[in-house]
Amino acid sequence: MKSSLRAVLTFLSLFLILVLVAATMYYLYFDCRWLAAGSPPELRPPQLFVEGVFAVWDFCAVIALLPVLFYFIQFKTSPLGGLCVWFFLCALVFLVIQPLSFAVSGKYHAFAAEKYRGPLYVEDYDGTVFTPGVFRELNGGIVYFTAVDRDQSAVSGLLLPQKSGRAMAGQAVIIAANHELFKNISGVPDPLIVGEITLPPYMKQIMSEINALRQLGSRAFLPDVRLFSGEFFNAYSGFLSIGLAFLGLYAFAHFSTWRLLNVLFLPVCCAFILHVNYLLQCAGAGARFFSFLPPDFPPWGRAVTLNALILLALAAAGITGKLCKKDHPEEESV
Amino acid sequence: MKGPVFKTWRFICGYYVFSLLTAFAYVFISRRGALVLPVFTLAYNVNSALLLFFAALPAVQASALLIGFSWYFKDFFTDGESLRNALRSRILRAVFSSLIACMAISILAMEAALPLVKSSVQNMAAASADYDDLMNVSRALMTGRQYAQAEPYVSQALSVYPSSPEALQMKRQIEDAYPAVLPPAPAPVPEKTTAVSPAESLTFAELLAKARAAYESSSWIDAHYYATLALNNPDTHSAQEARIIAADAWNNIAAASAAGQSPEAKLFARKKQGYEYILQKEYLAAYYLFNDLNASYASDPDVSRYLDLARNLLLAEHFFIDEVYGISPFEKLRNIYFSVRRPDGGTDIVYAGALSRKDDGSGLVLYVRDLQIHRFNENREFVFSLSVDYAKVLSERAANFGSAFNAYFKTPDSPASTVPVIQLVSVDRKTAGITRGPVYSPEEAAGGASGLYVLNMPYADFLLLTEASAGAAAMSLPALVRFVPLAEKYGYSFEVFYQVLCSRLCQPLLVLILTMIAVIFAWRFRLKRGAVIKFRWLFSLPFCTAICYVIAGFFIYMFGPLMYTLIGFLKQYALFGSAICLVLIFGVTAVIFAAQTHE
Repeated sequence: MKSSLRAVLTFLSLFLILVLVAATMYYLYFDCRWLAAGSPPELRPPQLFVEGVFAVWDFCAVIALLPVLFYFIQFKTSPLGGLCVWFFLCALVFLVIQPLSFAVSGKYHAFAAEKYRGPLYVEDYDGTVFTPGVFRELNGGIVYFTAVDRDQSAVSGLLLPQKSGRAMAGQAVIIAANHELFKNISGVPDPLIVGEITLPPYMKQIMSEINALRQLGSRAFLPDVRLFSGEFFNAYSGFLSIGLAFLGLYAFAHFSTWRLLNVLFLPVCCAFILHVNYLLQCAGAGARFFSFLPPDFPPWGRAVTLNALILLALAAAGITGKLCKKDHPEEESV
Repeated sequence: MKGPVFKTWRFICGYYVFSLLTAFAYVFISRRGALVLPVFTLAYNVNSALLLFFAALPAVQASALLIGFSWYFKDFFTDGESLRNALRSRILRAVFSSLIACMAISILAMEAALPLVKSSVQNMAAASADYDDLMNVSRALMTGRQYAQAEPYVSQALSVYPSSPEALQMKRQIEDAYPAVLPPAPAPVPEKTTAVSPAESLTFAELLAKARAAYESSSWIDAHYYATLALNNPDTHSAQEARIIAADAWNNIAAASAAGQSPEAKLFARKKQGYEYILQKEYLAAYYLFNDLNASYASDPDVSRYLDLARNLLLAEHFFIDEVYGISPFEKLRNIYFSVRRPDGGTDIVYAGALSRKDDGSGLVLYVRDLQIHRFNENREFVFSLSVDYAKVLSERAANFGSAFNAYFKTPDSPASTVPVIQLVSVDRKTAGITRGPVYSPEEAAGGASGLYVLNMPYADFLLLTEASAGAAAMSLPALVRFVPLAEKYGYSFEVFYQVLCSRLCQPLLVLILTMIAVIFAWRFRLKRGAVIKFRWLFSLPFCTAICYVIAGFFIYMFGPLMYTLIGFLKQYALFGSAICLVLIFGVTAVIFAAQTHE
């Protein structure tokens, strides 16, 4: 009982910490997107942090589930009690936290659209003023402003157009006020800074997959879908069934004698579940994969079948692992 | 009996080798070498495999430590429970020494090996692109049967890729069709002579003695030359004597050159003409005259001496066109640009397409290709642009160019206080009238402009700037440290360069923290005593590395935005701020680990 409570507390505290850290990173990232090299520092509105919380908390809840299993792996808990706690937490995440986040972020967008003309990150801040005296790569060339006014009425500078990475001789363009370059760069982040904070490609891929899955779930929470109607369940079951597959992760709580292996399996399987669901539910690979099902099978049924299969496979693996471990009881002794 | 530390490190080293081999296999299978010329394929593949390995190094280290220690921690427990404290300190010692070793390896890889590998990959790619450009021009000229024009391009392409079948074929075609086209002679090293030039550094008394000696041996031109030099810096007592020698020698020169139509007199008249050019500072005319004379009177000591003098004086302002033949394959630095504040308050924007270094025997000489200079006045209005195909950069004493340049140096007169001087005009070595110089826009700006352009910065800064143009990440750490305070002055962003510097300096601490966290996990989920390590567990290693790669990549990535915010508020103290934070975080993780072993 005590260890179950501890596991739940682990989840809650980690969830809180993760949300704070991730929202701070979100804040810092967009802070940098609007930063122009050489401009004085300014604190962005706290609204950005709030947006960050909304942007990250649903995913943080999923991530915070994993350390609960680490807890079960490290400390001896009764397998059945652990299973109950795990089921409870998965239900909490996929039945309460996720729907809540979809509902609330929809509401927040409506609210922000009314109050701030849209969320801050959508607006892409038009206040970035390119500072003079620094070289930048813009519009396929190297740009140097000798002077920039905030309203861009008094501007001078130079544009060196580049072709295959070299400036072309005799092609330099002198920039003055109202040069067409400014039509293209208003609202553009400073390429000097953005070039340094570009996400590596694999992280971009991870982010886009997470966003696609999020879209899948939020379909049920569009304003024209009535809550708890048949349409709602049709739309949400695809996302909800991911939770079904997550239940199977408990298999690794007692899988191998080498406990680190169990720990390593968890993120790999978690990524596997999310990626497969992304491929089959969002990226359109589903039609070919599900060809074995009868054609009149309901669309939500496909996702449930897929995740039920994953759950079965994980459960089978977990039971096999547990049985194999019984053969070598002497390894358990400390 | 081999200890657990030995076993762990055997495992880690094994995994290094495995990862390196995997990187090689990946690079060779994915045929990355196909991007460059066949001559570079092998070297390019090796270098890109190393790049890949270095990119994965933090993750490889963390995963190897994680798995290695989780397997071998159990081997520490052989001495029984009574040695609890001694055992603990053994474990802590083993862990921390391993972490420091990992950190040292990653510093060596990131700061010593990585810049070399990166620049060689870039150079090979750039040389391949050059070769393609040269061959495109050559092909166009060859189809137009313009063999003479194609020849230099083909030769340059061959110097990049000597066994290129296509270029060799073109070369044969050129030789068959037009045997008169000879390859341009390799640029002769500009002769530096000691015969006349040091005269400038002599004192008045020494010059006077030389003038007197020349006068007595009837070398009238020498006598006049030394006496005139002496008079430039006269000593009050003996100035009269120098004046007399100069006047008398000149009378003798005039008399000898007017002496009649004999060949000696004609030669002397031409020598006098050349000498007059030197006196009038028309060094180009003097050089060509003495060069002509030298062709027929090479044994005349006056001719060769004054040819040397004229050449040395000429080379202070111009360089020879043939100096730049065939140097483009040696261009290591490309796309160099910076802004420089002029003493009058205006700004010049300087762009060079490429730069190559050449050691001419007396010091480093730089040649730049496709140089552009754009001038703005102190009101930030555009004044003029100039562009030139080739220019030569020398380092000269700041004191030669007036007091405006002295401000950079504590001791402006010391020989180390030099400024970069760009020679914009090049001349032919043999034929008068062939010159290549800058093109001005608007054209009126050319009026009265000299062929020299002095950059308002110390020469050392110029060398730093040539490196900085490739980006902060490609600079060597010492250069980056020196450049950060200068960045804003020359049109670079302080934030960006300082951020990269901080990231590079803090990277070892980040590696330390990540490996410490890995060891914490290794301890928590270690194998129990008596457990047997199974071979199949090895297959988990790549997955472990992948997980570490994503997590480490995320933290290393997030360090960038964090640093920008810190730099915004703390300015130059941001490095201390972040270093202190990281040390604190490391301290916390270390304490967590130490507390765990207490359980």
